[in-house]
Amino acid sequence: MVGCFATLGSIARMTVDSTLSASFDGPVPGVPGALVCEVAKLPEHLDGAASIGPWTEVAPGAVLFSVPKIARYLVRDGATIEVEPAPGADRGAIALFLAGSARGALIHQRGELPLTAATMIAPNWRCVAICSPSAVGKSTLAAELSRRGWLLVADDITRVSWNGSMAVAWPSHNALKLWRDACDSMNLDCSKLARVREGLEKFFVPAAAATTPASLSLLVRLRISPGAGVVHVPASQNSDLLHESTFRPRMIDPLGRRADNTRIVSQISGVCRAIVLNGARECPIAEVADRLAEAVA
Amino acid sequence: MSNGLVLIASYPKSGNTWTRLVLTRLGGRPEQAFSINRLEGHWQGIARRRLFDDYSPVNAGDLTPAEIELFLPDINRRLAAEVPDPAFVKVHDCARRTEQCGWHYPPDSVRVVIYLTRHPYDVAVSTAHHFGTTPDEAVEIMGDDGVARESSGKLQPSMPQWVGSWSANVISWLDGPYPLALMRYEDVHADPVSAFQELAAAAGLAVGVDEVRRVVDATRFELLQQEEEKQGFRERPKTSTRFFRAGRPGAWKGMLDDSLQARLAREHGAVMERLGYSDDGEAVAIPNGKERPIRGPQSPRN
Repeated sequence: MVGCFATLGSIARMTVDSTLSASFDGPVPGVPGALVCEVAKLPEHLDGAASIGPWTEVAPGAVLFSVPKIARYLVRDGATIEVEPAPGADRGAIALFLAGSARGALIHQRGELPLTAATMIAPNWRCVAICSPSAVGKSTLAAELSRRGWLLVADDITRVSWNGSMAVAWPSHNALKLWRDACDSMNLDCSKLARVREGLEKFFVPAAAATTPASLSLLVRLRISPGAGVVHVPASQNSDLLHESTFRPRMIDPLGRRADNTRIVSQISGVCRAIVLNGARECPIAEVADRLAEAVA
Repeated sequence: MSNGLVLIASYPKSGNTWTRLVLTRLGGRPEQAFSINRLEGHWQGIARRRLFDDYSPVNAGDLTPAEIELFLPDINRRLAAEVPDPAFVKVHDCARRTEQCGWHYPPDSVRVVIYLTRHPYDVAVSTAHHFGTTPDEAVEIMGDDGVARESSGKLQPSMPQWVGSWSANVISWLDGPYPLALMRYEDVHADPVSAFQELAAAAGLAVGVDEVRRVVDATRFELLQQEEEKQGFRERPKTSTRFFRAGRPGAWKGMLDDSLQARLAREHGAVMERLGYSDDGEAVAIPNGKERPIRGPQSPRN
């Protein structure tokens, strides 16, 4: 683990600066105590691992995955992420997958919940996790809410833990990732924004961010539909929403974390309310944000 | 677990949706209420993206199109292994392979390719309506080998598609390594019961002619139009006022001027001839020996 403590803070938060850091050594965003360590060489395979998809191996306590020409990542024991960059790889892309999939795997290993959600704190301090698959518009809605004074907790993957009585959402980001069309629709000048990685028209949009963990109280299933509006979800279906919104659920069994996952889903389900928020992609984002703000008020 | 994917492949606007409606109905539960908006489980649109993200180590939205290509063969192989029969998959891409990873749809994961064609004159007019372009622009698109139906500046719910030109798309599948059931839209339109019975058999569905007739009747073009009018159709792009616009062959007449007809015939003549599409806009018999409508697997090309 030599070198892990070299430059703490280089990816302490998923910021525009993280793409420029010279080394990836440092803490894992939103997971105090966990560390990233850049290494020259990772093992080719994990002993006794299950393959859960292209270039992804999972064994109890370990996840090894690769992104060709970018990097290989080994996540261990909920405590460390080792990264082996490919020669000449885009640093932005390496950082992106560190803060995304590698961090998500690490959260699974801790028996916590990596939620595919953009999480925000409303002006009345209620903490809201906006859940959906990719391309539905979580980050765009989060950007609109940010303009209205909501605080960003996390984008893409939110770490949610249980402290005995509350579902705790951990702050990990101070920028949202928006595609050019979303930036344009919000009159943001992309020429003044940092690109998330080479080859993508996707940019970091700085956002006012929470600095301390927050008590999660509302789960929102964001849905593409022609009319904006809110539908309340019976409490008995909260766990379905959490299961659907869990990052890479195929990892859970080979990691040996099924019991932990069942437990934390049940705990979070018991303390959060859930709604379906309709209108993503089909309605003006301001209208969708209005409906959510009303539901949170 | 499926016995292999049934790819319903075509250049866009060639009858893919109608075919999927009929075949999925034949392969599904007959008691289920029919709806054009209930084409679930066919791994298209956002479902395809979600599937990719489920299997891939990182999300497609964070990858470049070239990187996505590297993951596709393995992801499609897993799709074939895990989804239940019949595993229909809508495809508008060319049959493609990467040097590093092989065919996007590995031949050992594909039971059959149902490839649908339509006279390019009709495709041009339909494409113009679909995308809100002029007929000139539609003809330009149909001749562009570099066409990738994706936008670099925004994330679409669907995955990037490598469609290619009309000719490239047709040839890639006709000369691909897969078992193939070739069907022309014009032949389906002329005798839908026979055509869909043939395609159902190719897909491995054991259905009788009465059942096919019932489903064909339930998916008549005017009924699809009526449902779209009442409830909308979620696959309709914002550029188009209606998806189910003109189902009949020859609808290009009066809408595609002589110069555009000539251009299509010039650019796609070789492939048109192969399929029996004449330059006067008609679909005639496929020349003997040009194509076998249904064939077994081909030897993979290098």
